[in-house]
Amino acid sequence: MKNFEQLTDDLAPKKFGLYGKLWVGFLVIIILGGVYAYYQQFTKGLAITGMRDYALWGIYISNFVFFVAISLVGSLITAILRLSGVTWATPLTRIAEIIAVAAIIMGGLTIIIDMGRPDRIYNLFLHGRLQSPIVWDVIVVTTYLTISILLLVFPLLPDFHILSKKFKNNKKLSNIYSKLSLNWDGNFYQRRIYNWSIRTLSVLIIPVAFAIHTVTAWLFAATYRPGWDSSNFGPYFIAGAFVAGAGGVICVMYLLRKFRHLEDYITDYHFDKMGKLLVLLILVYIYFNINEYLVPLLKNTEKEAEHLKSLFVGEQSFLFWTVIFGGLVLPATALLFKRMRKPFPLFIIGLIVVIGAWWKRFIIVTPTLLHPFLPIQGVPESWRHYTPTHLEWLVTWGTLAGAMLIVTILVRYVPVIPIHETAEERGIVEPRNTERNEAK
Amino acid sequence: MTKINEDCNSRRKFLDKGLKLGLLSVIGGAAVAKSLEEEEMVELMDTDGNIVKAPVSKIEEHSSIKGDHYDTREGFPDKKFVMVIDLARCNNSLECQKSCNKNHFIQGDNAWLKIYNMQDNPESSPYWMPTLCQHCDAPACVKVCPVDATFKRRDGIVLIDNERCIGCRFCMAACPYSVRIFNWDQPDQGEIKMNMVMEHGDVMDHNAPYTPDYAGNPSLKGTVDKCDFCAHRIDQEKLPHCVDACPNGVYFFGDLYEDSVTNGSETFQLSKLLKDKAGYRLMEDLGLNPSVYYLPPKNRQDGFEKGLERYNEFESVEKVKKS
Amino acid sequence: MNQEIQKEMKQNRIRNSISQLLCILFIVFTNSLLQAQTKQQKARLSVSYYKEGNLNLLKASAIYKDETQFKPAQGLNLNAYQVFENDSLVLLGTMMVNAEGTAQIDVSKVFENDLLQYDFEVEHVGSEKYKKVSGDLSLKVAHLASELKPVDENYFIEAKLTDANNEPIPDTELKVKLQRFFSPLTVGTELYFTDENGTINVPITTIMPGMEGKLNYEVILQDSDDYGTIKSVIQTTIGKPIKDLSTFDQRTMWSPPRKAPWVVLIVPNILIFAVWLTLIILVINLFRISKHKNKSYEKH
Repeated sequence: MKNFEQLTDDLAPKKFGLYGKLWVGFLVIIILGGVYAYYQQFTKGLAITGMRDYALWGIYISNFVFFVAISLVGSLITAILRLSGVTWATPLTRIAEIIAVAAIIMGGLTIIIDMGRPDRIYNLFLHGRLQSPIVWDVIVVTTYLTISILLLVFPLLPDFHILSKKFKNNKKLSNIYSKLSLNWDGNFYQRRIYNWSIRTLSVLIIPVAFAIHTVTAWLFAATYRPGWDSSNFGPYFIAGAFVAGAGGVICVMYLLRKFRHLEDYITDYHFDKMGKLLVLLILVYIYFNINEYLVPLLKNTEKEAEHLKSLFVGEQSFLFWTVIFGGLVLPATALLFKRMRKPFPLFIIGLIVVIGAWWKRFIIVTPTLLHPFLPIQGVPESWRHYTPTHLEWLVTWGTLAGAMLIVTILVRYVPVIPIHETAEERGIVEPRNTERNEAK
Repeated sequence: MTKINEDCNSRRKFLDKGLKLGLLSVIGGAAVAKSLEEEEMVELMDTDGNIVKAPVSKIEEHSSIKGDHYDTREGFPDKKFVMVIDLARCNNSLECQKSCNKNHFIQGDNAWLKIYNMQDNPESSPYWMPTLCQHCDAPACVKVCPVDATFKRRDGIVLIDNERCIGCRFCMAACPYSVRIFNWDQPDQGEIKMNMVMEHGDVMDHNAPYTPDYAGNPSLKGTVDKCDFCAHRIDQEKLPHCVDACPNGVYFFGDLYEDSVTNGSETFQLSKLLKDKAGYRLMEDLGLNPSVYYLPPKNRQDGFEKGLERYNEFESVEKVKKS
Repeated sequence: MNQEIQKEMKQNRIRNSISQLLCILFIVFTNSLLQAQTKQQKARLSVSYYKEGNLNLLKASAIYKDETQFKPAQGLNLNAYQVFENDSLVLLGTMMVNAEGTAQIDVSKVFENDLLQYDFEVEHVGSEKYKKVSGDLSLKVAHLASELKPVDENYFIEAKLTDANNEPIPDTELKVKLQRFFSPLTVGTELYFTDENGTINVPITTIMPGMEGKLNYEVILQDSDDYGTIKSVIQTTIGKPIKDLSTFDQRTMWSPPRKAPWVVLIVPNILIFAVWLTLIILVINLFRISKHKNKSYEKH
């Protein structure tokens, strides 16, 4: 049983070692590559991408959907599990919120990157139409970002206070932490505000999270195109979002555990639980996929038939089946075995799930566009296919690296496992100078 | 004696030479003067900012039916423009597409007006179907635009304000007819505009401010373009370019409220035409209420094969060759 | 010395011929240059007459053949004359052919003289672009009167064609049309022949729509050899009034932002307001936490 001192030692933010610095450097290089590629795009126009009039949305949009999806993990772990009284997830709440904030910021940036005229973005505010799903998306994304930031900030207050006391010998650091904790000292009034706020946020984030991904799904479902014209899209996207998010959390928690030696806090038990959660979520998502693909197949209308044919046996078939089997079915099957829910195997499975999730969104976005109602004629043959260009990939990697950089920076400066909550759960009492009872 | 002879000779020579010189200079001067003599020229500016001179006779004054209160977002009041396309007459001559491309300075790879090679089912004959923006009454594209850049007017025409468009392409995703095109880079319209100024008088003054009524003048990088029902021609009581250019009278254009459409030579009562020839609309079941009616490809004059010679599956815009 | 002089004279003669030859060559060369620069086109000119109400127009149409195509003879300057019996010409005015290949000039004044026949000549004197060309027209005066006649429940258009002496002109083709925005619509059949009284009687079978019920019908004598083109317009108000059926004034999903349906304006705003109010309270809570420092933790 650890004492408070050891607890705080383990969980306090630490400076980066060599690996950390190399990692940051690596991310910065990719981001710079992305910035260069975006500069090319900004000056020359979207012609530098592989998109054309038929494949008019490509990996930028599927990347955007991916980011929005991953960001839902914040609501899942922090809010849903917390409100259901699931305590094993407590150490993971900070990681989840960090991923959520990073993902939603980069999601917002990615959608701006896809715009043909980002210099006119102010038109969204001057002339915005509330009838347009894009405007709804902008509103919910902003709202969700604010909630996620607040859900990150509130639980940090007690933690910063603890760190401020811990580093009391380092005046400067102590002062910074003290300010960041907003003068938190755990008194009654503060606790009362804090508890109300956390509960309100947890309740609020759930409908907003559902809204954000439903609205994003409606960007596609509000059109007539076969493959998108589905009343299933809202729940389908949300189910997929939880899968992607859970996979993301597994990856990050594994890496943090390894590099920060948090084996006492993120235990095999946590991995086992996350593994089981992931199986459940994948099975739900597979169910939605069956609905999404089998029902049109049964009816086989002319337009749907073309689209399904290209997914099942045509141009997109390799990618489609890899994503379905490799990204969903196999991981779910594997996770039924306890051995696969051990940290390292689970990490690999999580990685596969996340990569599969990224490509699944590509399968959702672009193939439908290549099967319009009227035949594709009168345009170059290359317009019947879509291959992202190198610059397009550079920009996309830039955004992914950007998300990972935000996570990295937050992980560097912020305790990745909530200190005060862990202490509370383990019944570790914070030593005090005067006699006081810890109000629970 | 020699001296006198020489003197006489030299005088004669002098006169001789002088006359010739004089004659030459008169002729030469006349030639030079003629080449300098020009009609009165007027200065215009093309999109690149180059000053172009065109003869005054080529610039026309056009009368306008726009009132003082004309608002490009509202359009012509008390009119609703519709088009009827007679598929029985189309043989893929592509004159409509060429005229549209030229007059809207289209330099991308995707024409705004495309003639599709259609076959409804394996048993019936293939036919040519010109497709352009349907200017729907419940337009999916306008519904989804986040910044009110594309709009539906009172006179039925759907236009794009390419100074407001943010290039999100949601309208393109929403349109089931695939009639919208995107300017993936800045199209080079300079050459084609210069040719228009020199060849015809029927070109807008390039110094006039941009108006959504005249799509493609200019086209901007990162924005969407599409057929504008030649809203810029209605003002001069002229028919759209495609209607004008078609040698087979395929396109009819007119006002729904006046119940009358014309292809330039034949004028019909619209309601009677649609009843008699069973006019229909594309993808009627989507509920978009398009303004373009089609007459079935029955009893076709030329059959389908004649058009195949001109059919290019992979090209719809002939690029202007740079000189 | 004589020999020298003779030699010199011979050389002079040669020099003279050479310079003469050069001069001629130069003149020919420049001339052909001029010809090449502005090859004179031969325009085909046709002259016609058009009357509508008080408007009397002498119209000219000019095209020229440019390799394979016919193009409008834009910029062709034309003088219009009236020709009298003694072959004298009176200049009526000038007109210039436009981009569509047409030109017109008002000749109303000419008809004040009340002649039996009017002869016109239109001439281009010749310019660097166009060769000299002319066209003429002989015209007799005719009058076309038309009116709308309501008979029982129906309407008829009655028109009468008479000549200068008010004699009827029988067996002549007249067209009856309804004016529409781009192009007029034929009423009834393509052509109607005037009877022995020079009249036609056309039933209006369909009541067409018109702005505020206004319908303008035209009776046209088209391109008659003797009388030119005469149009008579009847302004009526028998049309079905046009109604604005557009959704422009309504609140729809495709309207501008301010004209969105009420539900779309109200519900999202309520949701946004409610959520953001909560968020603002939460942010205020952060400040409140900050203020509540060093308070005793005991409940009092």
